[in-house]
Order: sequence, then C-alpha cells, then structure tokens
Amino acid sequence: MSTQQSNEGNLPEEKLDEEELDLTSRTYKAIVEHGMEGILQSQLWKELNLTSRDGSRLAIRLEKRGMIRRERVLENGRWTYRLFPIRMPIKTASIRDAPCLTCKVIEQCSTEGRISPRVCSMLEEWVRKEYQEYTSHKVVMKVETKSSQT
Amino acid sequence: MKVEYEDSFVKAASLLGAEEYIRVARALLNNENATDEEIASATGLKINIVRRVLYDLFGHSLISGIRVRDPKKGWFVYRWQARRDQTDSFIESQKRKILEKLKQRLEYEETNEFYYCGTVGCKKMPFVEAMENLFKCPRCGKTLNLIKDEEFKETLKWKIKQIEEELEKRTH
Repeated sequence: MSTQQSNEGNLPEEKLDEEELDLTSRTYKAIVEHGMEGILQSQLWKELNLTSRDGSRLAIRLEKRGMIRRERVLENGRWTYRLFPIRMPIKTASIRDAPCLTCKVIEQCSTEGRISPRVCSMLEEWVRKEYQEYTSHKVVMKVETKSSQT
Repeated sequence: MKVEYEDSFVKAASLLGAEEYIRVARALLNNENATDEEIASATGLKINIVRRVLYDLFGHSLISGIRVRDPKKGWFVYRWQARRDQTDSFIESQKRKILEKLKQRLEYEETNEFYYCGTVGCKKMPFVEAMENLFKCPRCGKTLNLIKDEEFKETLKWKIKQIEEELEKRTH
C-alpha cells in the first residue's frame, strides 16, 4: 500500500522531469541543426516556444554537460548569448536493436562454432525487419512527396 | 523514447536496453557521483532495476564507481559516474563488431546453396546438411527444396553499407 502511495505521489513529478528532459534534447537538436555557426539564444527560444528563464536553464544544463558552448555577443545593442554545439551526437541508428548488443552468448559466437553469425536467426530477423522498415518508410516518403506535388 | 539528439552517453546506454537504461543514463548525467538510491529516487525506478542497469553499464565500462562510506548509515555505498570519454569508442567498437558478423554471414550466404522445407519455424540448411538429412526436414519431415534467397543477401549488403557509412560519417 505504502509503495503504491509513494508511486502515485511520484507520478506528476516524474512526468514533469520527462518533459524537461525531452526539452533538453529538443534544444540540443535545434542547436545542432544550426551547425557550427551557432544560434542566438533568443531566436532559439522563439523556435522552441520557451520562456527565456526556461531556455537559459536548459542552455546552462547543456553547457554543463559539455555539449554546447555559450558565447556572449552584442546583438542590436544588447548583450545576449550565441549557442554553439561542441559535441555532435554520434549516430547509432544503424545498430539500434541489433541482437549482438545484448546477446548473452556473444563471447562464444564465432564463424565455426555452434553459436555463429552464419546461422544466427536473431541476426537474420533483425536485418530483415530493419530492411522492411526502411523500404516501407521509403514508400511513405514517396507517397508524401507525390501528394505534396499534386 | 527518442534519443537521436541526446548525449552520446545516453545513446550508448540506450543500445543496451529499454527505457530504464535511458532514464538511468540521463540521471547519471544530471547527478554526478550519485548512489543507486539517489538514481532510483530521481528516475522513479525500483532500486533493483537501477542496480541491474548500473551493473550492466559498469560491465560495459560505460560508468565507474567509487566505494565510499555513507556518513549517516555507516555502511559502504558506491557513487557512480558516467565515463563519457568512453562512449564514442564503445559505440564504434559495437558497430565494427556487428559489421564483422554481418560480413561473415554474407560470405556464408554467398558461398553456399540452401535447402528449405517451406514450413514456418523450420530452418534453411546448406547442401551438406540437407544431404545428411536425405533432403527431408528433420523437424517437419517435408522435402527440402533448393531456395535462392537473393533478397536476404541484398538486405545484408544494405545493412553492411549503412553501418560502414555511419562509421565513416560519425556524427550528425
């Protein structure tokens, strides 16, 4: 009972935290998308529909994590910050959900062994599924492009 | 949970598990030197789940722990820290490992002929194995016929190319 109560009590706080974390990655994404020339923080807050208080907190958090750099600049007679990405996020899409990442017998996996990539059904399933998703995504993209042209 | 534009540490953790890995990784970035209990309270996850994730991340050298004495309780606790310098190399080494497995599979698919009974759940087998089984499926008993799975080879080539391209162009 007490666990349930405490969990219920945690829910709104947890949700708020999740929203804030999502905002952090959205902010980072927007900064990364503006490339190495950076973006004025006021412009970014407008794009993300954030208050300057929330926006500044997020920017400081990203700076603390070493993901962005804040540079003080004079813009239209007012001091503000320009935000630059330091660490560009490394790509992981190509190996996402790959069974080898969490395979319990990976240490025994070899070409000649009983456990082998040659016969691994999980590896086969993963590659097939990924390709299926890729091709279906491509079809959707084509349909969307066609409909926007008409 | 989308992690495309997250810190590489969160992305590395997300490769190893589901949502709980992402939550623990984010909590570790927000609270340096946190204990398992602090992470549990920050994430709302159960302590045993947090511990399981921490040990897994530690096993992959993505975090490090320092044993310190808890000043209030007197017992030893571990304070955990993200090893952010290790994350990019971890992701790259995983990519190379998987790439190698896929190449080995492609070579096997290209140098063998396969026989299959057509039953869902049964396996296709190379010529030697099919001959040993007298071209009868050992599982369902149906006749094994030669199959040409060109599509799978193409699929493997596509995935190999995708990983190679990512290795070449590392970041967004």
